[in-house]
Amino acid sequence: MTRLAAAAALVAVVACGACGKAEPPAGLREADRPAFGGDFTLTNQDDRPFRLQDARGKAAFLFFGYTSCPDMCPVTMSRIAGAIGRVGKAAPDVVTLFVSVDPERDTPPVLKEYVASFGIPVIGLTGSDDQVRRVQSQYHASAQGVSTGTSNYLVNHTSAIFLLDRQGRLRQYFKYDESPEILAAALRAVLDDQS
Amino acid sequence: MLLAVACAGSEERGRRLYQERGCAVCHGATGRGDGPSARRLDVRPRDFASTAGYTQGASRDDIAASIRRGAGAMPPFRDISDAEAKEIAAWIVSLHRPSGGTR
Repeated sequence: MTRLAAAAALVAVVACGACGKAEPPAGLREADRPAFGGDFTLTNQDDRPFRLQDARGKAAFLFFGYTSCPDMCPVTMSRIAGAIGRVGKAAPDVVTLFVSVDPERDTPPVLKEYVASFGIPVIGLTGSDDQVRRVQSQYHASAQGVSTGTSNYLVNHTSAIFLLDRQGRLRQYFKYDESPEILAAALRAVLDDQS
Repeated sequence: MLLAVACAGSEERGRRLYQERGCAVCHGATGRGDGPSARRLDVRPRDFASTAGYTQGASRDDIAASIRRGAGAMPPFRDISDAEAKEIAAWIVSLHRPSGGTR
């Protein structure tokens, strides 16, 4: 499979994150991996630059969402919290990266309040439209605003949960409603992997 | 006395689960429906203190069922086990105003 074909196949699966279980990127040939994931720089909830490398040493769940999301995001964050709660003493070695797909409204102060509402460490990330779109592109994710006829527009967005290892490498991804048990098992494997 | 202690333990576990699972994002840290996401939602999240709007029942079991099955604009949280949902619900019931008359 060429790198492009692999990426195209992954886009199809990720764009339909709620429809079926995705094949893990770990199944790709090593040569195809660089086309998926990778380092990025955004702005965190403290209005400071955040590079993915700053999370080096910790396993990470990465999720694209937005703070006024009424359904997918709170459900997914609950599942991520449930998974992290299942790894016991290793929990401090895990961080959750919440990348906003609504940077216009999700400013650092808004994200700060949002991430403080969880009992797990969450780093809220935002940036310019271009910066956020670039990160989405790296992870073959997409987002599009949808009018509701009120001032509170919605955002349709990729719902996959990405699991990164301690070096920031994308190891696996899951549909948004994967069970916390399955997420925790994958997380444990990543935490135990010293490579 | 033992029952009271057991209930208090359940409420405290429920409060912790409520916080851990991010319920406060919509419902607020103290359950008043004023979490950070609430201000931009078209349907305001439930203020747990007021039982008037509990269309699907305000008992612990009713609330636990609403958590797992969804209620109104709130999506279902099927990842939360029945036991966990009941503990969260126990804490929510503890927030009801006495005038609500459902404790």
